[in-house]
Amino acid sequence: MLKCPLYNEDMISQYVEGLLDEEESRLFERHLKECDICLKSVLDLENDLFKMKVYDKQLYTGLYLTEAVFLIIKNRLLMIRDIGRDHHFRKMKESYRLKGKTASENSYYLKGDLFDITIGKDKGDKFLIEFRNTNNRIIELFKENRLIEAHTNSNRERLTVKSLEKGDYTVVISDSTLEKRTKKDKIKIRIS
Amino acid sequence: MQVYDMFFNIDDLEIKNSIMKYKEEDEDEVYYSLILEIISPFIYNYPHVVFHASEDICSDFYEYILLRFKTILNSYTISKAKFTTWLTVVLRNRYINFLRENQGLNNTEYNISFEQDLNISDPDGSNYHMVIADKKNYNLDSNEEVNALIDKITSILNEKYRVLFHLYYVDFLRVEDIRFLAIFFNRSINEIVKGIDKIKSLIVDKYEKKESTLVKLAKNYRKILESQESGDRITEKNAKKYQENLLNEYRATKCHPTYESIASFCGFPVGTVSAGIARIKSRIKSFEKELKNI
Repeated sequence: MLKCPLYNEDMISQYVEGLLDEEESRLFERHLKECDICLKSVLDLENDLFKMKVYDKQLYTGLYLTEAVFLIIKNRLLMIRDIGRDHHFRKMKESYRLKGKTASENSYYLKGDLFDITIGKDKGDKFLIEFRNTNNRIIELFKENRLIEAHTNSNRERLTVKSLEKGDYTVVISDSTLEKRTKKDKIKIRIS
Repeated sequence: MQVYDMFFNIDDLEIKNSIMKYKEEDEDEVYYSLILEIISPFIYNYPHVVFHASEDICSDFYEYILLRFKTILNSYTISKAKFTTWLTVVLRNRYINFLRENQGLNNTEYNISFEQDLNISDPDGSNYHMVIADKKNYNLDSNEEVNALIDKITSILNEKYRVLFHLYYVDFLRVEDIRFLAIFFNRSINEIVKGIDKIKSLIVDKYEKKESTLVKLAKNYRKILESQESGDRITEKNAKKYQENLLNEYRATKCHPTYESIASFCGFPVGTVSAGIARIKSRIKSFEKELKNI
């Protein structure tokens, strides 16, 4: 793509909002008379803003089910932040057998539309993820955008992925009975 | 130009403060999460709203942006312009890069249906331009085809009719058309763009209705496919009937500006505008026939 040496997103934004002072506006206007790239950007921006305004009632809501940040500190797993919309991680209140141990202190539980998930503390500074109700589900676990685990149609009641290192993870669960896998749950987890 | 005060309930002051603190406190994670929390729906929905991208594409694009969001934030300098305005410019450029990097991606959820199976244009073919306009929305690659057609049509119109053509088919405006209008009216580009924005703002309800019908068509089309797959003939029949109604509704909703708004922009009497547009339509019809006969 051709580039304009004077192309500047901020200048274009200020021009469209009418915030440039008289001299800046005159100079930019003169530039627009000659530069297709910048003028196209102005037109595109005007169009995009118009559409964003008009169509904001018909938005997709399939954003991540939740985005949670956990911290492993002094042998404990702590949730620092959960910016989910409808679903949130909850600290396990009752004793819960996770990986053969009572794990109420060190685990958080989330009930999604397609699955239930528990994040728990594993050995050392590692952690584990346990999935429940995984029948007819495709489960994909990504670390920093790289697929590290994938399970299809697991018939087990529970599926545990252990010894996970700290990092940014994305869990994607989809319904394998739907051909297009349009129904998905997505969870983004960061463990620091 | 109309400046929209608030998109997606995003408070410009709040997000700018968060960005400032995020930068001041050496890329603080708490502020980063807060910024993401505020801006995520905007990023996620951008491809859907602007390019009619499917939910899967929106999801992939959102992840694509997330991986680059710190770089994007670091390139932002707090200024008078709204953060969402600046981000919109950035998102468009990033979206084009994203499509280039993922060539072969099925960009829209609609093209599987409308491009191949459904004829969403007027059944009598009288509104040639709406067909092209819709294709333009659904397929980024058809711009050259659209441009060539507009060039052909404007070449048979005199300057005054060309002005009316551009304002009536306002969604087709290209950079050369803006410059032409600026020269014709001896106005600045800013005045032309502002005027066009005003014209479009007066028909927001039509855009909303058309978009809403399109979303219903896409959902219904999926229902038809699913009922065909499961062999549910009754649901399929009902959905096809509903599809016909929706198509008629879609075709009947024209996103053309009012004659009054064009007259006000041009400083022409309304009668001159309506007569001029009628003449343009008639010229285009005979031009279409000529093209078909070649």
